[in-house]
Amino acid sequence: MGGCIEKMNYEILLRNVSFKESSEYITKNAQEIYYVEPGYKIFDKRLIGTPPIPIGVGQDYIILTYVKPCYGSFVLKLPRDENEINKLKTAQLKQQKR
Amino acid sequence: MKALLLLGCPEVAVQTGLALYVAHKLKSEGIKTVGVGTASTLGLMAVADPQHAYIDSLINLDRCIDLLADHKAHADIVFGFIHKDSGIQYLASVAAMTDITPVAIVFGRDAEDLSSEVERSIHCKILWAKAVHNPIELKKKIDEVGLWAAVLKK
Repeated sequence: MGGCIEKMNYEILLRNVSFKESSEYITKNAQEIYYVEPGYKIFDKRLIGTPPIPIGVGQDYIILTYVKPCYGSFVLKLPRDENEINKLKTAQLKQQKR
Repeated sequence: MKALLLLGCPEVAVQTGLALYVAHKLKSEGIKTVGVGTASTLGLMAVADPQHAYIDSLINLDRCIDLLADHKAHADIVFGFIHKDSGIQYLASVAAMTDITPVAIVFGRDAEDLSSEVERSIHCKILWAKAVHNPIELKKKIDEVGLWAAVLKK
């Protein structure tokens, strides 16, 4: 699968929040957390945020923060993608398993 | 030397004037200036500075992030114009990608809280004022810095 986020079947879990709030939501609610640096590319999109940036992974989802310049941070839930998860396992700074 | 002026959403009136003023100061020191922002932000800059008297070039925000992340562009100094949390996040990202200690220029009604958050999030120099329509207080703070080239060498 994979591809541009805008063209994917995503769900918005939080909208117009601060990056801190979105990061806290991800770390509290995802089964696994991977941390990456700003500029990390996932689903063809560069992630923006104060490092380290958390990405949440579960049985059927990936959740991440999408920062829009004029609207703040959004937490998006995207379908799990094994290619992206394998990339995350290589790129991660730290991993925290719940 | 090259400076990136990382501009936020243009809804706060002082941003364009402050950015052009900083660019003017930098150019007078021989530093090249690149304006970075969304299409509407860059449109305002292009209309305000049609002959590139202050801003040497303009680049889309996402394109700039791509180039920096791929190490296809560089900067010697980065100024972040911040009036929202997203501005902090973009400046923190650029700082991490370039390994530059940036300058945060924080304004708008929430400038005090935002400058505290900048201080917690990014190792940088911060200039802030609760400026929405009147840029004079921040202009004075910019002037007090003196030569930016000297700041760069520290």
